[in-house]
Parts: sequence; C-alpha cells; structure tokens
Amino acid sequence: MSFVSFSFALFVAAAVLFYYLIPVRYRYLVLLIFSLLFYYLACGKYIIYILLASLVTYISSMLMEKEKQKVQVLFPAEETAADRNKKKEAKEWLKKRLKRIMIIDLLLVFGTLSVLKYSEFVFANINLFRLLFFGDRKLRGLGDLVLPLGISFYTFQAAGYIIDLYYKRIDAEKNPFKLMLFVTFFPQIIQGPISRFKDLSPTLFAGNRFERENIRKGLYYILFGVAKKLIIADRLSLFVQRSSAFYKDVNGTYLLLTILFYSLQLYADFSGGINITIGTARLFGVEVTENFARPFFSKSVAEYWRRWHITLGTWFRDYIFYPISISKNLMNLGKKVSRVSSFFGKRTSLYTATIVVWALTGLWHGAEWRYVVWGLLNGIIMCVSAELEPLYAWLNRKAGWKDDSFLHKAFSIIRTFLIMSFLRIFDLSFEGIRMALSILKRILLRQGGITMSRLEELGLSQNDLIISLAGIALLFVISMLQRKKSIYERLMGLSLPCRWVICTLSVALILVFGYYGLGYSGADFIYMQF
Amino acid sequence: MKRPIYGLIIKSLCVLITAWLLFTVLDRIFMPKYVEENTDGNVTAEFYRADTPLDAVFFGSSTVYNAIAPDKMWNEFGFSSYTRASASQTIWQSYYLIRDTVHYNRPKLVTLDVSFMKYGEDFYEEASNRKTIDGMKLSFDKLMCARDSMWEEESLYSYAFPILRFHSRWNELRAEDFKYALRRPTVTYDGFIMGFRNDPDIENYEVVEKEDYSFPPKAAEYLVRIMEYCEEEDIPLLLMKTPTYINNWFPEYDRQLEEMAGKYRNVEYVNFDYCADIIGLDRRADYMDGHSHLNICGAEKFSGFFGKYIKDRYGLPDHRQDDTYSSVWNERYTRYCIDGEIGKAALK
Repeated sequence: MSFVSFSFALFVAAAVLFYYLIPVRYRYLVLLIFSLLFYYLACGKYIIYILLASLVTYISSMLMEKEKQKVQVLFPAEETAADRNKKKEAKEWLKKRLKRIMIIDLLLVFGTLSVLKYSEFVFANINLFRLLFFGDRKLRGLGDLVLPLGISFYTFQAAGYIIDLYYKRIDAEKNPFKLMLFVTFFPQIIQGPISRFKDLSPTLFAGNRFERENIRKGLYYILFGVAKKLIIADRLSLFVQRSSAFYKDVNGTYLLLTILFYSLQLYADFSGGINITIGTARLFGVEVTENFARPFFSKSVAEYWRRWHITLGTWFRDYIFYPISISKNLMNLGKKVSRVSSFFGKRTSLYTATIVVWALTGLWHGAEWRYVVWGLLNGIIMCVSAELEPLYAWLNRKAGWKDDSFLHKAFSIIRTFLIMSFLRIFDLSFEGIRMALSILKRILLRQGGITMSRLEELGLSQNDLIISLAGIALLFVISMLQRKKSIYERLMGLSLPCRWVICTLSVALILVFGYYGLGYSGADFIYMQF
Repeated sequence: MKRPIYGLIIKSLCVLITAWLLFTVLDRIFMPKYVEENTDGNVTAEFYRADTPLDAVFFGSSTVYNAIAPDKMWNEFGFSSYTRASASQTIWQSYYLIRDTVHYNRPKLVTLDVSFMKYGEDFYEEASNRKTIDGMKLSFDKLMCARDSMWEEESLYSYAFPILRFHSRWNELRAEDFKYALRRPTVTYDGFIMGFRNDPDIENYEVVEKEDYSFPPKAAEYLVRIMEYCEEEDIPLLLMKTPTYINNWFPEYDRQLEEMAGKYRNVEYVNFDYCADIIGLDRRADYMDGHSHLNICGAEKFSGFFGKYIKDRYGLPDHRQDDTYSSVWNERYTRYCIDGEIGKAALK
C-alpha cells in the first residue's frame, strides 16, 4: 500500500476514525492493530520478522529491568550508600549483566538484519576471495531471501531502545503491546524516521484527544509531502532511471543533469515521504521527529549530514560514533600514535570513528561495495574538510571574503550541493563502482550539447521539464521562507480564505500535474528499499 | 461546548463541498468531450437526457449504435427508445448498463446485441471502457462495471473520479474542453450514430473455422445474469445479432444462444443476419468499416424492419398522438432528418 494512494488515504481515515472513537486508554491498541494490519497487507507472512524483533526487544528489556531490581536486592541501598566500594561493585555488576543482555539482543536483531540484508553480499565476497586465492570453490549462499519492509528502520529503532535502556536514558516499557507499537508504528515503517523511544513514546502511548490543530497540521504536512513526491520526484524519476541506465549512450552533460536531478528527486521523494509520515502520525496526535532541515542550504558536507536524514545521523552519532571515539582501545591507540606523531595521535580516535560510522552508513543504505565507497567518501571528505579549515580561512582572508557574506555563503552552498550530487553517482550506479567511475569520467571528459528531443527520449518532455523546474523553484522559495518560521506557521498566519485558496490550489495542482495513474510510471519511495 | 462542535461540523462540510466542487470542475474540464470527434463517447451519457419514459432500450457494441435509429422508429411506429450501445461493449458492461437503465428509466423492452459473446476475460480496450463507463452516473453499478472491465494497472478510483485518469491531458487541452465543460451539446440521435461512409468493394472475407465454439465463461455468466435480471424485473429481453457482412459469426453460436434463451420465459434470440435480403440491405451501399457496421442508409432500412418487428412482437405503444411525447420526439426527428440528409448528400 503506497503512501500516495487512495487505499492508504482510506486506511488512514479508518484508523483515525477508530482511534478517536475508542476510549482514550485503549487508543494505542487501535494504532497497534492498524500498524500490524498495514504491515501484514504490505508483507504478508513476513510480518513474523517484525513481531520477533518486537518480542526479542521486549524480553531483553524485561530481563534488564529484572537485573536492575536484582541489584537492589543484592546490594541494598543502605549498604551502597555507606560503602563506596560496594556502590562501585554494584554498578559494575549491573553493567556487566545489562551489557550481556544488550549484546545478545543486538546480536539477535542485527543478526536477523545481517542475514536477510547482507548474507548475499558476504557470500559473494567470500566466493570472490576463494576464487582469487583457492581456485573456483564456491560457497552456497542462503538463496533469495526476502527483505521485509522497513527492516533497516525498525531494527535500528528497536536497537536504539535497548541501548538507551543500557545507558539508563529511559525506563523500560512494561506493556508489551506498547513496545510493539513503538517498533511497528505504521506511518514510519516504510522509510523512517528512526525515532527514539523518549521522543516518540509520550505522544504515541498517550491516547491523544481529538484536536483540530493536529488534524489540520497533519493534513497540511501530508499535502506538502504528496506534492513533493508526485509533482517533482516521480516526474524526474523516469529521466534519472533511463539516463543512468543508458549512461554509455549519452554525453556527460546529460549525466551531469542526471546527477543534479537525482539529488533533487531524492530530496523531494524522501522528504516528501517524511512529510507524509509526520502528517499521518500527527492526525493521531503523535509527534514524530523531523528528519530534514533544509539540507541544500548547508555550507559543508558535515552540515549537510546534520540536516539530511537527521535521525539516522544522530543514531549513528549516539550509538556508534560516541561509543567508538571514547572507547578505551581507540584512546589507547591514539596515545600510541601520539608517541610517533602528535598530529595523528590527536586525530586517531576522531577520524577512525568517523570512517567506521560512514562505512556503516554506506552499508546501511545497501549491501554493495558502491554504498560502502559512497559512505567512505563522505567520511573522508569530512575529515579532509576539517583539516583544510585553516586553509579555507586563510584563502577567505586573502580574497577578502567574510564568512557571513552572501557570496561566500552562496559559494559554499553550491559547492556542497555539487559535492553531494557527485557522491550520489555511487547511489545511482546500479552496476557497481565501475559504472560510477564511468559516469564520472563521462561527466568530466565527454561534455556535449543537450537537445529537447533527446531529453524526451530519456523520459523528460519539455512540459515535464518546465513543471519540474517550476516545482523545484517553488520548493526553493518555500525553503527560503522556512529560514525563520516553518511554512506551516506562515500559513497559519494567513487569513482563513487565503489558506483555503492555497490548499485548494495545491490539491488541484497535485491532481493535474501529479505524476500518477495509467500511462505514468511513478516510482516507489526510494528510501523504502533501504 | 456546543459551539466548537457546530464549528467543526460546518468546517468539515465546507471541506467536503470544496473537495466535491474541485473534483467536479476538474473532471468536467479534463474529461474528453467527444463532441467534435469520437461522438460515440457520448452515447452512454446522453441516455440520461431522455425527456420521456422509454419503451425500448438497445444494448450492444458499435454495430448497434450504427444500426438502430430511435428517431426513425419514432416517426414510423411511435414508440420511444434509446440506443445505449458503445464501442466494444462487453456482455458484462451490458449487464451493468441494463441495470443502470432500468434504475433511471425502466423500459418495456430490452434488446441486446450478442456479437460480443465471443469475447471473454482477456478482452480489454481502455478507450472503449472509458467511453462506456465514464458516461454512467456514479453508482454502485458503475463501480462494479468498472471493476469487471478494467485491467490490473487501472484504478477503480479513476472511474469514480475521472480526473485521476485524464489529468494527463493537461498539455493537450483545447478550447472545446472549456467550452463544453459545463454542458455538452447533444451529439447522438438518441444513441444512434450516423455513419456516412460506405464500402463499395466486395471482398471475400476469409472464414476462420474454430475448434471450440463455446462462449468464454465470463461472457456466458453475464448473459445468464442479464436474462435472470430481466426475468426478475419482468422486462422482455430480445437477444439479437445485428446484420453485418463479415463472416465471424457461426451457426454454433446461434444454437447455443437459442438454447440459453429457451430456458427463460421472456427471452428470445433472433439473428438478423439471416434477414439481410428481406430487409433489402445492399452489400455495396449500406455497409461501412469493412462491412462490419451499417451506414446511415443501411441503418434506416434496418431500423424500419427492426422497429416493426419489435412493435408487433412486443406490442410497443404508439405515442404519436400524445403531446407529452410528440413535443419532444418530433423535434428530435426533425434534427435527425436535417443532419441525416446533409450527411447522405455527402455520401452520394
């Protein structure tokens, strides 16, 4: 069931109706039932994976809770208060127990993800290795495994919950149905965001009362998301798919246009989907974390990643980057390196953690080397940029550019956009790294003219181009307007008739210019495949 | 406490009315108008403009709307009728159209051309489906008709809200689309489409014998449904084969249809192919489109014969002395004559 379908609209309408008809204390159960139904309709029997993930997470959390209670019996409060060593001992004891449970839990949930998503990749690489070094012996893979919908998202969400419990950032949820709802909540199952328990649970479990503001805000978000998806993203999708598929037959200018359009398509698609997610959740009064903050206005790659897919970035930062960068082993390594070179010693833990995080981020996006390379390049660019900071500052001083001057900002923004677009070549290159390099080569060395007829052959007619550019321009204007106030707040500042006219016009634009229906080959949400 | 609830209800109503208006306006602008070309796309819809009760309604494919002229039959026999046929109208579409027709203007006689009994589940033409179904008013029958007619890539919603299908016409809209958005002129002659072409060359069409002459299950199932429905509604049903000159109809079909019709009290089957000589149809002058349809000359001959047959057989009334009918139908007949003569002159 696609987010941009009548079936989904009816599904949500039914869910909203039931939600507000049921007594407040049972409303979370309505959400759970509809979430499971949604998942079942999308995946059928593969619902078992998400049910197991919920179950494992629940059992682990309860075991952790039990250990926390046990420590109070084994080490009574009076004793630990009086004896520092006893307190330390109790802490160590609990930490050890909790860690053991956490590791088993993570092994189980990430193990499932690894087997389903990465086993083919691992076997392929082992086989390649064996072929190179031991002849042509082949290991048999696990066959074609079906990747359940949203597994990367719900696995990370469930894992985040257990890690937060380990660090005692949250209290365990004792109601298994509520925890299951946290893992399976249907608006965010397709493409995130990856919510944190402490952020999502208050409104998710509350049994929110009907408030017009929630409905209004939700519908505005949905409208905005659908417009982005249907008018811009899907319209560009055919051109991007075709020109990348026929990359050998088109010159570099088309490919340059392809990667620029792909960046915009991806943004419109993913952020549009997130808007629909936030809007749908809001209809139930549930507040889902924002996942984008005008990323194309970033002045550096690092900033870009703080504004793009924010929840994934913060997940990796909190659960991978920080633990790695402050881990004893890495600190010790840094100290050892410092003995040889203090320059590298200081940077060892930071950059190692950065590279690891980005390699994993690449892998999260897909079980292929091109994603790993894409991730690593992001990490390397960030490390290099950090090192080049003094050089930039010196150049700016020499050129007389101030950091906050319009020209400097514009230059930085365009540079970042271009870097990110070029990195996306790896994303686009479904044949692998070789294809990515070939596209890059063609862009750099084989420039040529563009004709409308060729663009049309590649799936972008003149009218489609005009609409796409108009849509992108509108998106740009809206992003500019959002610098100080969200577009929703701005809309609310308008009079009621104005809002009605804007909404009616928006719906009309979607209905007329949306890329949907027979004769159009609209695409699924891109992040759904991750 | 009450005021917010009233406010909410009023606002919700406003939202619904705005949405309805928006869809209606967009539907009307974007749907093909079928006024200046492909006028057969209006046959299904113009049925609702019948200003008098109808005595007979004729269903079937394009062979029917090119062959049966209600205005001509009015003038000669005095009964009111409508040709609710459409291009490639499948048997299941006929079923839902008959139900829809009975709901709005219950006729005394229903006739169904059976040429499409040969086509089953795998038959699909989106353009024809659209011409047939889009003209129906929104109802359960319309949606069921769409469900049974569409293929998997189509969306049922697009039959309820045609803008979802025709929005792709945004770059081909013409003045006609705005001009006729509010009201389309009447372009058919009570469902009859005049054909002003002919096929003077006689070709010997090859007869391709078949191994199995049984009707496809879906067509057979819906024919049974039609017969049962007419029996329930106590409306006589005439299953008929409109005369054509292409050899794609076999006696085996006739036998099966006679057998099926024989099981019902109010149903009979007549193959008018066998009456072509009695009707006086001239193979060189009265046919068009590869002899698969009658042109205006052939239609007038056939309508005269067919009208007499159903009037006598089913006792259809003569309303010519009834002002309620004659004020409407005489005007229609005049229009039919004027346009017909102009076309016939061009044909000669």
